[in-house]
Amino acid sequence: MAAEDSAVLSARGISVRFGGLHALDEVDLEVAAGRVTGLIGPNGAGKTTLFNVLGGLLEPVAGSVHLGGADITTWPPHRRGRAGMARTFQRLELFTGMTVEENLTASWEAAHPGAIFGRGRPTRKQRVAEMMELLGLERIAGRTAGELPTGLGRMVELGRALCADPRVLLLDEPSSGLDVGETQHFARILRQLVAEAPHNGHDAGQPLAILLVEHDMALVMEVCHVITVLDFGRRIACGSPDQIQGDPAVRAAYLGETDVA
Amino acid sequence: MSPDRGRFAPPQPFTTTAPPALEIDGLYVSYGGMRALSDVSLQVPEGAVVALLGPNGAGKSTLLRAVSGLVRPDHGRIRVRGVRVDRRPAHATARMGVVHVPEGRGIFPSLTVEENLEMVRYAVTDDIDPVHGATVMFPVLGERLRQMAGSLSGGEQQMLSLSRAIVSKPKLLMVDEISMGLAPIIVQQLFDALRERAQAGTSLLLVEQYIDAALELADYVYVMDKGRIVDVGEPADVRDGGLVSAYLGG
Amino acid sequence: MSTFWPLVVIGLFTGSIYGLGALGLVLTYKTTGVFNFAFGAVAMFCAFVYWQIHDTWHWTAWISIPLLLLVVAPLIGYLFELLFRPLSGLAAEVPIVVSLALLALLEVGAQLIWGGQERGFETIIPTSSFKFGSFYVGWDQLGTLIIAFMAGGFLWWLLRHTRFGMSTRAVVDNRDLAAIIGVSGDNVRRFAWMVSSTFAALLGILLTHSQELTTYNLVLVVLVSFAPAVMGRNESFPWAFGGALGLGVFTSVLHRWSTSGTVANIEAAVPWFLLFIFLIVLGGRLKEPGLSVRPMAVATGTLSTGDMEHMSARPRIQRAVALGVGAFAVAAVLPTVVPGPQVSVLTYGALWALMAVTLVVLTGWAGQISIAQVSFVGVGAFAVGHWAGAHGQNFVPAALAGMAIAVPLGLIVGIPSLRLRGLYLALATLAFALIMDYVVFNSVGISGGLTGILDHRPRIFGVSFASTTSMYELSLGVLGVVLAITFALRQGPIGRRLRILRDSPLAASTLGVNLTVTKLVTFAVCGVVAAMAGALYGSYLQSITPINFQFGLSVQLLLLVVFAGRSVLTGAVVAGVLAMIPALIVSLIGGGTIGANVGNWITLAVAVGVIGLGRNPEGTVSLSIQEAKRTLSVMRPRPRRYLGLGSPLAPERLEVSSGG
Repeated sequence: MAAEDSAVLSARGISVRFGGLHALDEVDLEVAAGRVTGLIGPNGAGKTTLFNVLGGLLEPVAGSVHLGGADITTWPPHRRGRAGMARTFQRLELFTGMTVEENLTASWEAAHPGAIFGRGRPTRKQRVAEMMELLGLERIAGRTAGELPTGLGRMVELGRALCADPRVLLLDEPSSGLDVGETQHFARILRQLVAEAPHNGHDAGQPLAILLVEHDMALVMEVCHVITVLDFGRRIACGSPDQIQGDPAVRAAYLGETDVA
Repeated sequence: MSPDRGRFAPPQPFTTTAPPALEIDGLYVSYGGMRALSDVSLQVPEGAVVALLGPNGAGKSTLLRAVSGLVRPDHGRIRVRGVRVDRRPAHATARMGVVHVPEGRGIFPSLTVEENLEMVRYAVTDDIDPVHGATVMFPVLGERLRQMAGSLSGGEQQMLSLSRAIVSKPKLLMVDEISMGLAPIIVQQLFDALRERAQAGTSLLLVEQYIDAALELADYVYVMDKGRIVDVGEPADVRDGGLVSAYLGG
Repeated sequence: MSTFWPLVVIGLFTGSIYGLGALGLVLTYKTTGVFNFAFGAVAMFCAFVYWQIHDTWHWTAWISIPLLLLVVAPLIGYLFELLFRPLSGLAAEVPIVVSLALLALLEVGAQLIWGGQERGFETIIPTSSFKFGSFYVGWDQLGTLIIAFMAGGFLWWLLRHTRFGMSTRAVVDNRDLAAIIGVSGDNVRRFAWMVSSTFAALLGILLTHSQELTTYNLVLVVLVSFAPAVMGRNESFPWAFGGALGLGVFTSVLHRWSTSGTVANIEAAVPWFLLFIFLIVLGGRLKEPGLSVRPMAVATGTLSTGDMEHMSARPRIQRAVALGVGAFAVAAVLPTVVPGPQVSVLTYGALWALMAVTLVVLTGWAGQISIAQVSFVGVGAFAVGHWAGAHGQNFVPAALAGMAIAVPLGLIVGIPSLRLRGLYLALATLAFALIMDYVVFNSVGISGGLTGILDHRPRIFGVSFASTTSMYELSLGVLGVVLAITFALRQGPIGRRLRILRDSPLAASTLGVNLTVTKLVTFAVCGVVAAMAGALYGSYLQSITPINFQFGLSVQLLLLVVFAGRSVLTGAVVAGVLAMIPALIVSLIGGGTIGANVGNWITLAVAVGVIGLGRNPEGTVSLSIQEAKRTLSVMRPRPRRYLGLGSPLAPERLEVSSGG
């Protein structure tokens, strides 16, 4: 595995402190093209903190974040968005007052310079149409996003993120609020995305890289190629789903097996 | 130590005649537009200890919040000793003797320790001496009575939170992740207090991340995942069954 | 230093009065999360009730004061609690707008009952003075100070040593926890509203017992206590009270250098300068309880596939364009049917609609609340007054100059929006509007003081718009062009950019939108268009004074727009129509007693309407669209089909093993 070379997004030695608490302690993470990378850990392990560092909502006290070769550690979120990073939110952040189609369109426009003055309109229409077809959103294209149930809302958020033509996609607990059937549907789409990569944005031709933060282990084990496990702000394991499931440190972290003697 | 087995019939099907301390039937709860609980049914027989386990985001805390009236269910019924509480305001449910020790720090940080305890007297009943009861349970609190509760250590805060709940003589005590972020020695003390309460016959619904500790104390265990109950049974059976797969996939 | 210490002492007296107000504001904010913009109006209303029973009916102070403090004021507080209770948990703008509506309601109500003239109140405390060291101190001043400190001490005792107080502190600390150990939050909140309202009443009496004040001025004076309340971070009683004392001393000492002129205006604006700068510098750290809650249609799990709602965008746009063009055509031919005076009224309506458009874009689309929009109108009006010639020549360059001045002002008022939303943005724009009032519009050199200056009807490229009809045509034409451009923008990328700013700034920024640039540009552009409206409005009025652009009118404009519909351009048009109704009635039935009060009655109705809308912050226009849709769908029931990925409502029951 030439993980170093194909890493689209990488974080090295990230440390974050809240007051005296070490929320993250020298954590490394690599997200490679054409793969789904899982980021898991028990409550309070630092997943969300790391996620926010990657997304630019939080600045680390140490360490650096690189996106496709550029050091983006100090970049504000909107600059990361323009450089090919897109994300979804655990608590849906849809443009609730707009239709599904407008949600996707606004995303394309936000990510493409000049689009606000009308540049690239045909491309935009084509891209939005493609994405709605891929995710099965055509039927609800004209519906107001705020009225949708969570399952569809997650699909719209995914479509919105993809319309920004990202090279790396960050998914924050996408299965929360979904039932079993909806989660499976979501898993199918994720696999399809990294495999097919109908991708024509930044460095065209390279497949999409996905980072998945998730607490639904069934989903993680099913779709991820590589999994990183955090506990108490440290990386305690990194490997394939099989390796992770068999890892004693992971079992201890999740099941509390070594505690309260 | 092992719980006194055989005192109670299994929770499902339920066989004794007295209404259970807590009975939840087909509960659906949504949170900010997201479904957090789907078709959850659960019973805490009178005097039993029930542990509720499951990974993050499974909906355990939401379940407790629904019982105590902090969130309104979409569908389903919640009964405490046979009385419906799912449409009651939280403070009215509390006055029925349903006491919830919430996740995080269940204290009023800018009130003194003494005032935190006295709140029980104002809110629920006048004929107890909460300060005395709590300081007997955790002597360290006696030395801190005049201090702002927010200045206590994490462990002391949980002691305050738990003792305030216990001295109010709950009919049903619900405890949410009381051990979170605490040193094992403190957790031990808190669990001792809980065990004592359980042996005194208080019905207990326990959400806990220290699975071994919870399993040791519980008569029955429910396992939740993604807002549903996925397994239920006696501790030993659940340990080898649904628990591991709920936590680790597989 | 002989003049210094007396000023400090006087500052302490006035500061202690503001301190009372700050305590009352912080109390309700801490317990209910509502910042009571109507606090000053409550104080004013109570002061006038007191004037009624004490000075007019000649009840003795021993009866009237307890009656006011223990019955009237708590009753008002009780009513406030009833009004705000159902609004908890809604978006932050809802309580802001409702409390602004209450401000307007009480203000207008007081004017209808007691008239707009100044009232002098008999004093309660003797006004004679005594010698304190080397200078004289009034007994009334000392009395005020003592009463304020006693009231503060009373509040402290109440919170520290009573059950109610302890429950209140518990609810403030942790609302959920208080509920689950059996403390009823409703009781605590009711108690807080009643105490706060009593503080307002006390403040009103203390302020008015020796000076003559109109209803509006009294409200403005009490507004000053907003500054220390917010600078105490809306949570600390000692800081709020201490801040008020400090503010009193600071402004009083400034007094040493001036008694009139520009510096006197600046003196009145000092609290607002401080508040504005405080919000820009430290505002990002202020907590706002309602902020995380966004209005959200709760997903119910089922979803109908009615093709009516599914109607694609094109026919809707075509219909809207047809309606708009039709309405414009009707409006354009109106002068041929309607007599002259009414045409003038129509012009008034068109110009208010033009102002309303800027607020619809700013507040309705981009989600940036503003209580300062009429200040920009004033900038345009005064620019034309100064730089256009007596025959309206140079109108265009003068208007352009006004619009150019609006650019930096728009950027300044936009700065707080970079970190603030909701309440604190509203407070920052309020501070901006009052600074404009005191420093710019009250400056004789700019506004001509109370007599005002003359604006002239415009002459554009040689065409004179001096006649009533031509002025109407010009205003309507500009309104039409602005509406057409705005409508076109709404359908395109720019409209979407603004609306995503309102719906989720977080998501917008992660997608690549530069929030800083977008917000500043929006504020600036809306300010520029408002200034353009002001250029026309000024030359329409022909004689303008600071009163035409004061802060109260910005509140009125906001309430009109919210009532009519803040997210749709139709709302702006309806707001304009509502604004001209009073003048229309007056022009139809003539002046007289009814005519004189018509404006107040309309404001009253709009305020009541806004309060009544409460949960529907989208206003009447969109409300009626929704109602219409609902009615239609009831008439044509269609099978509802679930569209989701799986069905959350009818779940397949999972196998539940019963363990062994």
